[in-house]
Amino acid sequence: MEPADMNHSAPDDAQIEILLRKPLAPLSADDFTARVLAALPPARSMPDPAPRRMIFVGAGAIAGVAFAGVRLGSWSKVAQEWPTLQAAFAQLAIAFGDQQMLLGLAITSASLLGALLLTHPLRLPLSFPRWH
Amino acid sequence: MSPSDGELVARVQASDDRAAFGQLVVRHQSAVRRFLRHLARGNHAIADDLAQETFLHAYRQLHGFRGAADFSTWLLGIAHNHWRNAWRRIRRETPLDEAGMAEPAAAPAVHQSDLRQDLDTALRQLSAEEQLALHLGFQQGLSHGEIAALLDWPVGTVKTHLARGKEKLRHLLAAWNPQT
Repeated sequence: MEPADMNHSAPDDAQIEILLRKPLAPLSADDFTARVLAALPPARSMPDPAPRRMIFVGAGAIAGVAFAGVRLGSWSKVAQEWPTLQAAFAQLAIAFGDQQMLLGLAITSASLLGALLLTHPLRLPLSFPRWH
Repeated sequence: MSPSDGELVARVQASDDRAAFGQLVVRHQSAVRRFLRHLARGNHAIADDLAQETFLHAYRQLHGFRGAADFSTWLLGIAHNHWRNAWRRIRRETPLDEAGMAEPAAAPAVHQSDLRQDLDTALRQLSAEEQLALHLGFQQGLSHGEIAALLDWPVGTVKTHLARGKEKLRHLLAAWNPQT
């Protein structure tokens, strides 16, 4: 007498995987998409940040010029203070000639740039994520 | 050529482009709804409500999406979280049978001619974890690592559930599919 499962054979792993991977018909998107879009919160206004930035920079520049004007008083005083200013710049030039000072500045700049990139990552084509 | 997910996401992030978000919904709704229907054991109403919540949540969180994972995997993760929350709520409030998500009945002991039906019936015989791993691995096409990250399982556990699931399916399908 034949065993009951004589005619049965277990499919192998590959066959099972083919069966499992068989694509199902996609579900219709029409009603669902409309439902989701209708339920989205009201559009948020997104003001362009550029004009605001320009206003801040401009106001800062004007304030700086005004402050300098108040401190110095007149052009004759500016001319009078000019040698002092030149001496200060000369000191600065000497300081920039120092390698350790340059290294310190480079490290500070790099860390500032790093912090800036961490908060506002650049969208470069090479750094694009692996989205399909 | 249709824009990539990344391009559509960038458009939503930059200018709250609803049309771009609509395209993302059209593109991914089927996978998300199928995943939730799988979790809700065929309860389409609950699954579609959760799918809607998933997309709304994704829309609100899109500004924080940096593309560390595929957009589709990220969506499935949100869907899974919504499902877990809903499941806890349902279990607290409603008996299982009333919720329409009772454990499936055992497969009928008759030979079914349609292979897909055989497979579906066999799948229902597996544990919930095995079904979930097989669904994500084969029907959603996720890698072991992606499944592990999504379900918060170790990769080894994912592999074990997949292997056990396939092994059980092999036996179940052999018993139900006589060769002619």
